[in-house]
Amino acid sequence: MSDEFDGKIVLVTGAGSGIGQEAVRSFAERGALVYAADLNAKGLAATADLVASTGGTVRSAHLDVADETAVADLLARIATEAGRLDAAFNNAGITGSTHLLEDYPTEDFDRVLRVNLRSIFLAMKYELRLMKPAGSGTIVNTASVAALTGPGGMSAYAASKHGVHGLTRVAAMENASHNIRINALAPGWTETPMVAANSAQNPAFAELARKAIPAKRGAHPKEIAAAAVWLSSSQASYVFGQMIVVDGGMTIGGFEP
Amino acid sequence: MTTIATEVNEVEGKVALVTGAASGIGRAIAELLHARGAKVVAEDIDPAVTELARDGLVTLVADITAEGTAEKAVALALGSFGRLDILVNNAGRILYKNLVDMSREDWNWQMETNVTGAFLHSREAAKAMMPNRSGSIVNIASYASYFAFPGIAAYTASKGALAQLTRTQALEAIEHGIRVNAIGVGDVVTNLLNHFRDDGREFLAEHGRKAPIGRAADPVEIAEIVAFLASERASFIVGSVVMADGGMSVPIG
Ligand SMILES: NC(=O)c1ccc[n+]([C@@H]2O[C@H](COP(=O)([O-])OP(=O)(O)OC[C@H]3O[C@@H](n4cnc5c(N)ncnc54)[C@H](O)[C@@H]3O)[C@@H](O)[C@H]2O)c1
Repeated sequence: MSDEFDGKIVLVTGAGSGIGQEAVRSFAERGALVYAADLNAKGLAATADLVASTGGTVRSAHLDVADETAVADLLARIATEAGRLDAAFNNAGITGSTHLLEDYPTEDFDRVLRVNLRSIFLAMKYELRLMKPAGSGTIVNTASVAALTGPGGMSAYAASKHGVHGLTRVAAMENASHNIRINALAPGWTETPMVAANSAQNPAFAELARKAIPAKRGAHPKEIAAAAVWLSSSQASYVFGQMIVVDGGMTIGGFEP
Repeated sequence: MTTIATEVNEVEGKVALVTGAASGIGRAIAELLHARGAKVVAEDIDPAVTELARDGLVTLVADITAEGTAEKAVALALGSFGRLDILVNNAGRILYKNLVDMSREDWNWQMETNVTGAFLHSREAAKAMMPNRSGSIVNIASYASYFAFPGIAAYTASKGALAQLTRTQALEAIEHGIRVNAIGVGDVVTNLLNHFRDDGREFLAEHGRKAPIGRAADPVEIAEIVAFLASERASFIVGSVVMADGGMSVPIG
Protein backbone atom coordinates (compact mmCIF):
# COMPACT_ATOMS: atom_id res chain seq x y z
CA MET A 1 0.00 0.00 0.00
CA SER A 2 1.34 3.44 -0.84
CA ASP A 3 1.99 5.81 2.00
CA GLU A 4 0.96 9.46 1.77
CA PHE A 5 4.53 10.53 2.60
CA ASP A 6 5.95 8.49 -0.24
CA GLY A 7 7.98 10.88 -2.41
CA LYS A 8 7.15 13.89 -0.22
CA ILE A 9 9.74 16.54 0.55
CA VAL A 10 10.09 17.13 4.28
CA LEU A 11 12.31 19.42 6.35
CA VAL A 12 13.11 18.64 9.99
CA THR A 13 15.23 20.95 12.15
CA GLY A 14 16.90 19.83 15.33
CA ALA A 15 17.31 16.61 13.36
CA GLY A 16 20.53 15.51 15.02
CA SER A 17 19.02 14.27 18.24
CA GLY A 18 15.97 13.21 20.21
CA ILE A 19 12.57 14.16 18.84
CA GLY A 20 13.89 15.51 15.54
CA GLN A 21 15.96 12.42 14.88
CA GLU A 22 12.97 10.15 15.49
CA ALA A 23 10.81 12.32 13.23
CA VAL A 24 13.39 12.09 10.43
CA ARG A 25 13.48 8.34 10.85
CA SER A 26 9.69 8.07 10.73
CA PHE A 27 9.20 10.38 7.71
CA ALA A 28 12.01 8.57 5.86
CA GLU A 29 10.60 5.15 6.70
CA ARG A 30 7.36 6.27 5.14
CA GLY A 31 9.09 7.15 1.91
CA ALA A 32 9.75 10.88 2.24
CA LEU A 33 12.92 12.62 1.12
CA VAL A 34 13.96 14.34 4.34
CA TYR A 35 16.18 17.38 4.72
CA ALA A 36 17.68 17.06 8.18
CA ALA A 37 19.03 20.30 9.64
CA ASP A 38 21.07 20.72 12.80
CA LEU A 39 24.01 22.60 14.25
CA ASN A 40 25.44 19.34 15.57
CA ALA A 41 27.33 17.64 12.71
CA LYS A 42 27.94 14.47 14.70
CA GLY A 43 24.23 14.13 15.48
CA LEU A 44 23.36 14.69 11.84
CA ALA A 45 25.74 11.92 10.83
CA ALA A 46 24.11 9.60 13.36
CA THR A 47 20.68 10.47 11.96
CA ALA A 48 21.89 9.79 8.42
CA ASP A 49 23.29 6.40 9.51
CA LEU A 50 20.03 5.53 11.20
CA VAL A 51 18.04 6.34 8.08
CA ALA A 52 20.50 4.58 5.78
CA SER A 53 20.10 1.39 7.80
CA THR A 54 16.38 1.37 7.00
CA GLY A 55 16.82 2.29 3.34
CA GLY A 56 15.38 5.83 3.53
CA THR A 57 16.64 9.03 1.97
CA VAL A 58 18.01 11.90 4.00
CA ARG A 59 19.99 14.99 3.04
CA SER A 60 21.88 16.66 5.83
CA ALA A 61 22.11 20.40 6.32
CA HIS A 62 24.64 21.56 8.87
CA LEU A 63 23.54 24.99 10.00
CA ASP A 64 22.49 27.36 12.78
CA VAL A 65 18.69 27.64 12.57
CA ALA A 66 18.83 31.19 13.94
CA ASP A 67 21.12 32.39 11.15
CA GLU A 68 18.94 34.02 8.52
CA THR A 69 21.36 33.54 5.64
CA ALA A 70 21.85 29.88 6.47
CA VAL A 71 18.10 29.26 6.64
CA ALA A 72 17.45 31.16 3.41
CA ASP A 73 20.24 29.16 1.73
CA LEU A 74 18.80 25.86 2.90
CA LEU A 75 15.34 26.68 1.55
CA ALA A 76 16.93 27.84 -1.70
CA ARG A 77 18.78 24.52 -1.88
CA ILE A 78 15.52 22.61 -1.30
CA ALA A 79 13.84 24.68 -4.04
CA THR A 80 16.65 23.90 -6.47
CA GLU A 81 17.06 20.22 -5.66
CA ALA A 82 13.48 19.18 -4.90
CA GLY A 83 11.40 21.99 -6.35
CA ARG A 84 9.00 22.10 -3.43
CA LEU A 85 8.47 21.54 0.30
CA ASP A 86 5.50 19.50 1.48
CA ALA A 87 6.04 19.40 5.22
CA ALA A 88 8.24 21.15 7.73
CA PHE A 89 8.85 20.21 11.35
CA ASN A 90 10.58 23.16 13.01
CA ASN A 91 11.88 21.54 16.10
CA ALA A 92 15.35 22.81 17.04
CA GLY A 93 15.58 24.32 20.48
CA ILE A 94 17.57 24.67 23.68
CA THR A 95 16.64 24.88 27.34
CA GLY A 96 19.09 27.58 28.36
CA SER A 97 20.45 28.16 31.83
CA THR A 98 18.36 28.24 34.98
CA HIS A 99 18.37 31.42 37.10
CA LEU A 100 15.86 33.61 38.85
CA LEU A 101 14.70 36.34 36.52
CA GLU A 102 16.59 39.11 38.33
CA ASP A 103 19.78 37.07 37.94
CA TYR A 104 19.16 35.79 34.42
CA PRO A 105 22.17 36.65 32.25
CA THR A 106 20.87 38.84 29.47
CA GLU A 107 23.12 37.19 26.90
CA ASP A 108 21.64 33.80 27.86
CA PHE A 109 18.15 35.22 27.49
CA ASP A 110 18.97 36.55 24.04
CA ARG A 111 20.53 33.26 23.00
CA VAL A 112 17.48 31.19 24.05
CA LEU A 113 15.10 33.56 22.29
CA ARG A 114 17.32 33.45 19.22
CA VAL A 115 17.54 29.66 19.00
CA ASN A 116 13.94 28.90 20.05
CA LEU A 117 11.88 31.75 18.67
CA ARG A 118 13.80 33.62 15.98
CA SER A 119 14.57 30.22 14.40
CA ILE A 120 10.87 29.36 14.08
CA PHE A 121 10.16 32.80 12.64
CA LEU A 122 12.97 32.42 10.09
CA ALA A 123 12.07 28.85 9.21
CA MET A 124 8.43 29.74 8.52
CA LYS A 125 9.41 32.93 6.70
CA TYR A 126 11.36 30.98 4.09
CA GLU A 127 9.24 27.79 4.12
CA LEU A 128 6.11 29.80 3.37
CA ARG A 129 7.76 31.36 0.36
CA LEU A 130 8.08 27.84 -1.06
CA MET A 131 4.72 26.53 0.08
CA LYS A 132 2.52 29.48 -0.83
CA PRO A 133 3.11 29.39 -4.60
CA ALA A 134 2.61 25.61 -4.52
CA GLY A 135 -0.70 26.11 -2.75
CA SER A 136 -0.13 23.41 -0.16
CA GLY A 137 1.96 22.40 2.79
CA THR A 138 2.00 21.61 6.49
CA ILE A 139 4.13 23.07 9.26
CA VAL A 140 4.55 21.80 12.81
CA ASN A 141 6.47 23.91 15.33
CA THR A 142 7.79 22.42 18.54
CA ALA A 143 6.68 24.49 21.52
CA SER A 144 6.59 22.90 24.96
CA VAL A 145 4.38 22.59 28.01
CA ALA A 146 6.39 25.68 28.99
CA ALA A 147 4.19 27.48 26.45
CA LEU A 148 1.37 26.96 28.96
CA THR A 149 3.13 27.13 32.31
CA GLY A 150 5.59 29.25 34.24
CA PRO A 151 8.49 27.00 35.16
CA GLY A 152 10.61 28.75 37.82
CA GLY A 153 14.09 29.70 36.74
CA MET A 154 13.29 29.27 33.06
CA SER A 155 12.08 32.71 32.05
CA ALA A 156 13.84 32.66 28.67
CA TYR A 157 12.65 29.18 27.79
CA ALA A 158 9.03 29.80 28.80
CA ALA A 159 8.93 33.16 27.02
CA SER A 160 10.38 31.65 23.85
CA LYS A 161 7.91 28.76 23.86
CA HIS A 162 4.92 31.04 24.56
CA GLY A 163 6.22 32.95 21.56
CA VAL A 164 6.27 29.84 19.39
CA HIS A 165 2.60 29.32 20.18
CA GLY A 166 1.79 32.89 19.18
CA LEU A 167 3.79 32.71 15.97
CA THR A 168 2.09 29.45 15.08
CA ARG A 169 -1.37 30.94 15.50
CA VAL A 170 -0.58 34.03 13.46
CA ALA A 171 1.05 31.99 10.70
CA ALA A 172 -1.95 29.64 10.63
CA MET A 173 -4.40 32.52 10.28
CA GLU A 174 -2.36 34.27 7.61
CA ASN A 175 -2.09 31.14 5.49
CA ALA A 176 -5.55 29.70 6.00
CA SER A 177 -6.63 30.47 2.46
CA HIS A 178 -3.44 29.04 0.95
CA ASN A 179 -4.09 25.45 1.97
CA ILE A 180 -1.16 25.51 4.38
CA ARG A 181 -1.93 23.88 7.71
CA ILE A 182 0.18 25.10 10.63
CA ASN A 183 0.12 23.71 14.17
CA ALA A 184 2.33 23.51 17.23
CA LEU A 185 3.30 20.60 19.40
CA ALA A 186 3.74 20.87 23.16
CA PRO A 187 5.83 18.00 24.46
CA GLY A 188 6.16 17.44 28.17
CA TRP A 189 9.21 15.89 29.85
CA THR A 190 10.84 13.90 27.08
CA GLU A 191 13.80 11.62 27.71
CA THR A 192 15.98 12.84 24.87
CA PRO A 193 19.73 12.20 25.13
CA MET A 194 20.14 15.71 26.58
CA VAL A 195 17.58 15.12 29.33
CA ALA A 196 18.85 11.60 29.95
CA ALA A 197 22.37 12.95 30.50
CA ASN A 198 21.07 15.56 32.96
CA SER A 199 19.01 12.89 34.73
CA ALA A 200 22.03 10.63 35.12
CA GLN A 201 23.86 13.52 36.80
CA ASN A 202 20.94 14.42 38.99
CA PRO A 203 18.90 11.26 39.58
CA ALA A 204 16.97 12.74 42.51
CA PHE A 205 15.65 15.55 40.35
CA ALA A 206 14.78 13.13 37.53
CA GLU A 207 12.92 10.94 40.01
CA LEU A 208 10.92 13.94 41.24
CA ALA A 209 10.14 15.06 37.71
CA ARG A 210 8.85 11.64 36.72
CA LYS A 211 6.73 11.44 39.87
CA ALA A 212 5.10 14.78 39.02
CA ILE A 213 3.85 13.38 35.72
CA PRO A 214 0.54 11.52 35.96
CA ALA A 215 1.93 8.88 33.57
CA LYS A 216 4.83 8.46 36.08
CA ARG A 217 7.44 8.55 33.33
CA GLY A 218 8.92 10.79 30.70
CA ALA A 219 8.13 10.41 27.03
CA HIS A 220 10.29 8.48 24.63
CA PRO A 221 11.26 10.85 21.79
CA LYS A 222 9.38 8.48 19.45
CA GLU A 223 6.10 9.30 21.18
CA ILE A 224 6.55 13.00 20.44
CA ALA A 225 7.76 12.39 16.89
CA ALA A 226 4.67 10.25 16.26
CA ALA A 227 2.47 13.24 17.09
CA ALA A 228 4.51 15.50 14.79
CA VAL A 229 4.21 13.06 11.91
CA TRP A 230 0.51 12.63 12.57
CA LEU A 231 -0.05 16.41 12.63
CA SER A 232 1.80 16.63 9.30
CA SER A 233 -0.43 13.98 7.76
CA SER A 234 -3.84 14.21 6.13
CA GLN A 235 -5.22 12.33 9.14
CA ALA A 236 -5.07 15.67 10.97
CA SER A 237 -6.69 17.59 8.12
CA TYR A 238 -9.12 19.54 10.34
CA VAL A 239 -6.57 20.36 13.06
CA PHE A 240 -5.62 23.93 12.31
CA GLY A 241 -3.75 26.60 14.27
CA GLN A 242 -3.70 24.44 17.38
CA MET A 243 -1.13 23.34 19.90
CA ILE A 244 -1.32 19.62 20.65
CA VAL A 245 -0.20 18.72 24.15
CA VAL A 246 1.72 15.44 24.51
CA ASP A 247 2.77 15.43 28.14
CA GLY A 248 1.54 12.33 29.96
CA GLY A 249 -1.01 14.51 31.73
CA MET A 250 1.47 16.97 33.26
CA THR A 251 -0.60 20.10 32.60
CA ILE A 252 -4.05 18.78 33.53
CA GLY A 253 -3.93 19.71 37.18
CA GLY A 254 -3.24 16.71 39.29
CA PHE A 255 -2.72 18.18 42.75
CA GLU A 256 -3.25 15.47 45.31
CA PRO A 257 -6.31 16.14 47.51
CA MET B 1 11.16 -1.64 5.69
CA THR B 2 10.67 -1.71 9.42
CA THR B 3 7.14 -1.98 10.65
CA ILE B 4 6.10 1.26 12.30
CA ALA B 5 3.12 2.13 14.42
CA THR B 6 1.43 3.97 11.59
CA GLU B 7 0.30 0.69 10.09
CA VAL B 8 -3.23 0.98 8.85
CA ASN B 9 -4.28 -2.06 10.86
CA GLU B 10 -2.96 -0.68 14.12
CA VAL B 11 -6.26 -1.27 15.93
CA GLU B 12 -6.38 -4.85 14.67
CA GLY B 13 -7.68 -7.13 17.39
CA LYS B 14 -8.80 -4.23 19.61
CA VAL B 15 -12.40 -3.99 20.77
CA ALA B 16 -14.17 -0.64 20.62
CA LEU B 17 -17.49 0.64 21.96
CA VAL B 18 -18.88 3.66 20.11
CA THR B 19 -21.99 5.52 21.27
CA GLY B 20 -24.21 7.50 18.92
CA ALA B 21 -23.04 5.28 16.08
CA ALA B 22 -26.16 5.43 13.91
CA SER B 23 -25.32 8.73 12.33
CA GLY B 24 -22.74 11.39 11.61
CA ILE B 25 -19.44 11.35 13.47
CA GLY B 26 -20.21 8.22 15.49
CA ARG B 27 -21.03 6.23 12.40
CA ALA B 28 -17.79 7.33 10.73
CA ILE B 29 -15.85 6.34 13.86
CA ALA B 30 -17.47 2.89 14.05
CA GLU B 31 -16.85 2.27 10.35
CA LEU B 32 -13.25 3.52 10.38
CA LEU B 33 -12.24 1.53 13.46
CA HIS B 34 -13.87 -1.56 11.99
CA ALA B 35 -12.17 -1.02 8.63
CA ARG B 36 -8.82 -0.77 10.46
CA GLY B 37 -9.34 -4.15 12.06
CA ALA B 38 -11.11 -3.42 15.35
CA LYS B 39 -14.13 -5.30 16.61
CA VAL B 40 -16.89 -2.81 17.32
CA VAL B 41 -19.97 -2.46 19.48
CA ALA B 42 -22.07 0.27 17.85
CA GLU B 43 -24.66 1.77 20.20
CA ASP B 44 -27.45 4.24 19.49
CA ILE B 45 -30.96 5.13 20.63
CA ASP B 46 -31.91 5.11 16.94
CA PRO B 47 -32.72 1.57 15.68
CA ALA B 48 -31.09 2.54 12.38
CA VAL B 49 -27.81 1.58 14.07
CA THR B 50 -28.67 -2.07 13.38
CA GLU B 51 -27.98 -1.46 9.67
CA LEU B 52 -24.29 -1.31 10.55
CA ALA B 53 -24.19 -4.91 11.79
CA ARG B 54 -21.60 -7.04 10.02
CA ASP B 55 -18.87 -9.50 10.81
CA GLY B 56 -16.96 -8.05 13.77
CA LEU B 57 -19.54 -5.34 14.47
CA VAL B 58 -22.50 -5.84 16.77
CA THR B 59 -25.12 -3.23 17.55
CA LEU B 60 -27.06 -2.16 20.62
CA VAL B 61 -30.22 -0.07 20.48
CA ALA B 62 -30.32 1.81 23.78
CA ASP B 63 -30.50 5.23 25.42
CA ILE B 64 -27.05 6.05 26.84
CA THR B 65 -28.67 7.85 29.76
CA ALA B 66 -30.93 5.00 30.84
CA GLU B 67 -30.08 3.08 33.98
CA GLY B 68 -28.18 -0.07 33.07
CA THR B 69 -27.34 0.83 29.46
CA ALA B 70 -23.63 1.35 30.07
CA GLU B 71 -23.40 -1.95 31.94
CA LYS B 72 -25.24 -3.68 29.09
CA ALA B 73 -22.98 -2.13 26.43
CA VAL B 74 -19.78 -3.15 28.18
CA ALA B 75 -21.15 -6.65 28.81
CA LEU B 76 -21.96 -6.91 25.10
CA ALA B 77 -18.36 -6.04 24.19
CA LEU B 78 -16.99 -8.57 26.66
CA GLY B 79 -19.54 -11.22 25.65
CA SER B 80 -19.11 -10.76 21.91
CA PHE B 81 -15.38 -10.08 21.67
CA GLY B 82 -13.88 -10.97 25.05
CA ARG B 83 -12.50 -7.58 26.07
CA LEU B 84 -12.81 -3.80 25.77
CA ASP B 85 -9.93 -1.57 24.65
CA ILE B 86 -11.53 1.59 23.31
CA LEU B 87 -14.57 3.63 24.35
CA VAL B 88 -15.75 6.55 22.26
CA ASN B 89 -18.35 8.73 23.99
CA ASN B 90 -19.84 10.37 20.94
CA ALA B 91 -23.62 10.34 21.39
CA GLY B 92 -24.91 13.83 21.90
CA ARG B 93 -27.62 16.31 21.06
CA ILE B 94 -27.91 20.04 20.92
CA LEU B 95 -30.60 22.24 22.40
CA TYR B 96 -31.15 25.70 20.90
CA LYS B 97 -32.96 27.94 23.35
CA ASN B 98 -32.15 31.21 25.01
CA LEU B 99 -31.46 30.84 28.69
CA VAL B 100 -34.58 32.74 29.74
CA ASP B 101 -36.73 30.30 27.76
CA MET B 102 -35.04 27.16 29.03
CA SER B 103 -36.91 24.89 31.42
CA ARG B 104 -35.30 22.78 34.07
CA GLU B 105 -36.31 19.72 32.02
CA ASP B 106 -34.50 21.16 28.98
CA TRP B 107 -31.37 21.71 31.03
CA ASN B 108 -31.46 18.28 32.63
CA TRP B 109 -32.07 16.56 29.32
CA GLN B 110 -29.05 18.27 27.75
CA MET B 111 -26.80 17.43 30.69
CA GLU B 112 -28.01 13.83 30.87
CA THR B 113 -27.46 13.31 27.15
CA ASN B 114 -24.08 15.00 26.77
CA VAL B 115 -22.42 14.37 30.13
CA THR B 116 -24.20 11.81 32.28
CA GLY B 117 -24.25 9.20 29.50
CA ALA B 118 -20.53 9.67 28.98
CA PHE B 119 -19.88 9.50 32.73
CA LEU B 120 -21.76 6.19 33.04
CA HIS B 121 -20.07 4.63 30.01
CA SER B 122 -16.63 5.84 31.12
CA ARG B 123 -17.15 4.38 34.57
CA GLU B 124 -18.20 0.97 33.30
CA ALA B 125 -15.60 0.88 30.53
CA ALA B 126 -12.77 1.81 32.89
CA LYS B 127 -13.78 -1.03 35.22
CA ALA B 128 -13.55 -3.47 32.31
CA MET B 129 -10.21 -2.03 31.12
CA MET B 130 -8.46 -1.86 34.49
CA PRO B 131 -7.55 -5.56 34.72
CA ASN B 132 -5.80 -5.26 31.32
CA ARG B 133 -3.84 -2.20 32.50
CA SER B 134 -4.55 -0.63 29.12
CA GLY B 135 -7.29 1.11 27.25
CA SER B 136 -8.23 4.36 25.63
CA ILE B 137 -11.30 6.55 26.10
CA VAL B 138 -12.03 9.34 23.63
CA ASN B 139 -14.79 11.86 24.33
CA ILE B 140 -16.32 13.86 21.54
CA ALA B 141 -16.30 17.35 23.00
CA SER B 142 -16.60 20.55 21.03
CA TYR B 143 -15.09 23.96 20.53
CA ALA B 144 -18.14 24.85 22.61
CA SER B 145 -16.28 23.20 25.51
CA TYR B 146 -14.31 26.46 25.75
CA PHE B 147 -16.06 29.08 23.64
CA ALA B 148 -19.52 30.52 24.05
CA PHE B 149 -22.28 30.98 21.51
CA PRO B 150 -25.68 32.60 22.07
CA GLY B 151 -28.64 30.24 22.25
CA ILE B 152 -26.82 27.13 23.44
CA ALA B 153 -25.98 27.71 27.10
CA ALA B 154 -26.89 24.18 28.15
CA TYR B 155 -24.88 22.72 25.27
CA THR B 156 -21.73 24.76 26.01
CA ALA B 157 -22.09 23.92 29.72
CA SER B 158 -22.46 20.22 28.91
CA LYS B 159 -19.45 20.17 26.57
CA GLY B 160 -17.39 22.15 29.06
CA ALA B 161 -18.32 19.54 31.64
CA LEU B 162 -17.34 16.77 29.23
CA ALA B 163 -13.89 18.33 28.79
CA GLN B 164 -13.41 18.50 32.56
CA LEU B 165 -14.72 14.96 32.98
CA THR B 166 -12.07 13.96 30.45
CA ARG B 167 -9.25 15.69 32.26
CA THR B 168 -10.17 14.46 35.72
CA GLN B 169 -10.82 10.89 34.66
CA ALA B 170 -7.51 11.01 32.76
CA LEU B 171 -5.67 11.57 36.06
CA GLU B 172 -7.47 8.73 37.79
CA ALA B 173 -7.33 6.27 34.91
CA ILE B 174 -3.68 6.69 33.90
CA GLU B 175 -2.81 4.99 37.20
CA HIS B 176 -4.31 1.92 35.58
CA GLY B 177 -2.69 2.41 32.19
CA ILE B 178 -5.86 3.83 30.64
CA ARG B 179 -5.60 7.04 28.60
CA VAL B 180 -8.53 9.46 28.46
CA ASN B 181 -8.62 12.29 25.91
CA ALA B 182 -11.16 14.37 24.05
CA ILE B 183 -11.58 16.06 20.71
CA GLY B 184 -12.77 19.67 20.52
CA VAL B 185 -14.81 19.23 17.41
CA GLY B 186 -15.75 22.17 15.21
CA ASP B 187 -18.48 22.26 12.57
CA VAL B 188 -19.04 18.86 11.01
CA VAL B 189 -21.69 18.17 8.41
CA THR B 190 -24.04 15.75 10.20
CA ASN B 191 -27.69 15.43 11.19
CA LEU B 192 -27.03 17.07 14.59
CA LEU B 193 -29.36 20.01 13.95
CA ASN B 194 -31.99 18.13 11.94
CA HIS B 195 -34.36 17.73 14.90
CA PHE B 196 -35.13 21.46 14.86
CA ARG B 197 -34.30 22.57 11.34
CA ASP B 198 -34.69 20.76 8.02
CA ASP B 199 -31.66 22.45 6.53
CA GLY B 200 -29.38 21.32 9.40
CA ARG B 201 -26.71 19.91 7.13
CA GLU B 202 -26.65 22.96 4.87
CA PHE B 203 -26.52 25.19 7.94
CA LEU B 204 -23.48 23.36 9.33
CA ALA B 205 -21.75 23.41 5.95
CA GLU B 206 -22.42 27.14 5.63
CA HIS B 207 -21.36 27.92 9.22
CA GLY B 208 -18.15 25.95 8.66
CA ARG B 209 -17.15 28.35 5.88
CA LYS B 210 -16.44 30.90 8.61
CA ALA B 211 -13.61 28.74 9.95
CA PRO B 212 -10.16 29.90 8.81
CA ILE B 213 -9.82 26.65 6.89
CA GLY B 214 -12.92 27.72 4.95
CA ARG B 215 -15.09 24.66 5.28
CA ALA B 216 -16.85 22.37 7.73
CA ALA B 217 -15.35 18.95 8.42
CA ASP B 218 -16.37 15.62 7.02
CA PRO B 219 -17.14 13.12 9.83
CA VAL B 220 -14.24 10.92 8.73
CA GLU B 221 -11.78 13.71 9.60
CA ILE B 222 -12.92 13.42 13.22
CA ALA B 223 -12.86 9.62 13.05
CA GLU B 224 -9.18 9.78 12.01
CA ILE B 225 -8.37 11.72 15.18
CA VAL B 226 -10.13 9.07 17.25
CA ALA B 227 -8.10 6.37 15.48
CA PHE B 228 -4.91 8.27 16.30
CA LEU B 229 -5.77 8.92 19.95
CA ALA B 230 -6.84 5.30 20.44
CA SER B 231 -3.60 3.98 18.97
CA GLU B 232 -0.16 3.36 20.42
CA ARG B 233 1.05 6.41 18.50
CA ALA B 234 -0.69 8.51 21.14
CA SER B 235 0.80 6.59 24.08
CA PHE B 236 1.93 9.79 25.89
CA ILE B 237 -1.21 11.82 25.20
CA VAL B 238 -3.11 11.93 28.47
CA GLY B 239 -5.98 14.28 29.29
CA SER B 240 -5.56 16.35 26.15
CA VAL B 241 -8.38 18.03 24.33
CA VAL B 242 -7.28 17.95 20.71
CA MET B 243 -9.01 20.87 19.06
CA ALA B 244 -10.20 20.02 15.56
CA ASP B 245 -12.19 23.02 14.48
CA GLY B 246 -10.52 24.16 11.29
CA GLY B 247 -9.07 27.05 13.27
CA MET B 248 -12.47 28.43 14.35
CA SER B 249 -11.17 29.08 17.85
CA VAL B 250 -7.85 30.64 16.79
CA PRO B 251 -9.09 34.20 16.23
CA ILE B 252 -11.36 33.95 19.30
CA GLY B 253 -9.02 33.00 22.10
N1 LIG C 1 -21.75 18.21 13.97
C1 LIG C 1 -21.09 19.16 14.59
O1 LIG C 1 -20.88 20.25 14.02
C2 LIG C 1 -20.54 18.93 15.97
C3 LIG C 1 -19.71 19.93 16.54
C4 LIG C 1 -19.19 19.72 17.82
C5 LIG C 1 -19.50 18.55 18.50
N2 LIG C 1 -20.31 17.62 17.94
C6 LIG C 1 -20.63 16.42 18.73
O2 LIG C 1 -20.46 15.25 17.97
C7 LIG C 1 -21.26 14.20 18.54
C8 LIG C 1 -21.95 13.44 17.41
O3 LIG C 1 -22.91 14.25 16.79
P1 LIG C 1 -23.15 14.31 15.21
O4 LIG C 1 -22.75 15.65 14.78
O5 LIG C 1 -22.57 13.14 14.58
O6 LIG C 1 -24.75 14.31 15.18
P2 LIG C 1 -25.80 13.20 14.69
O7 LIG C 1 -27.09 13.71 15.17
O8 LIG C 1 -25.63 12.93 13.24
O9 LIG C 1 -25.39 11.91 15.53
C9 LIG C 1 -25.59 11.80 16.93
C10 LIG C 1 -26.04 10.40 17.26
O10 LIG C 1 -26.17 10.27 18.69
C11 LIG C 1 -27.33 9.51 18.96
N3 LIG C 1 -27.85 9.77 20.30
C12 LIG C 1 -28.31 10.95 20.78
N4 LIG C 1 -28.79 10.81 22.03
C13 LIG C 1 -28.61 9.51 22.37
C14 LIG C 1 -28.89 8.76 23.54
N5 LIG C 1 -29.50 9.30 24.62
N6 LIG C 1 -28.56 7.45 23.55
C15 LIG C 1 -27.97 6.88 22.47
N7 LIG C 1 -27.68 7.55 21.35
C16 LIG C 1 -28.01 8.85 21.28
C17 LIG C 1 -28.30 9.95 17.88
O11 LIG C 1 -29.37 9.02 17.70
C18 LIG C 1 -27.40 10.06 16.65
O12 LIG C 1 -27.33 8.83 15.94
C19 LIG C 1 -22.21 14.88 19.53
O13 LIG C 1 -21.74 14.66 20.84
C20 LIG C 1 -22.08 16.34 19.17
O14 LIG C 1 -22.37 17.17 20.26
C21 LIG C 1 -20.83 17.79 16.68
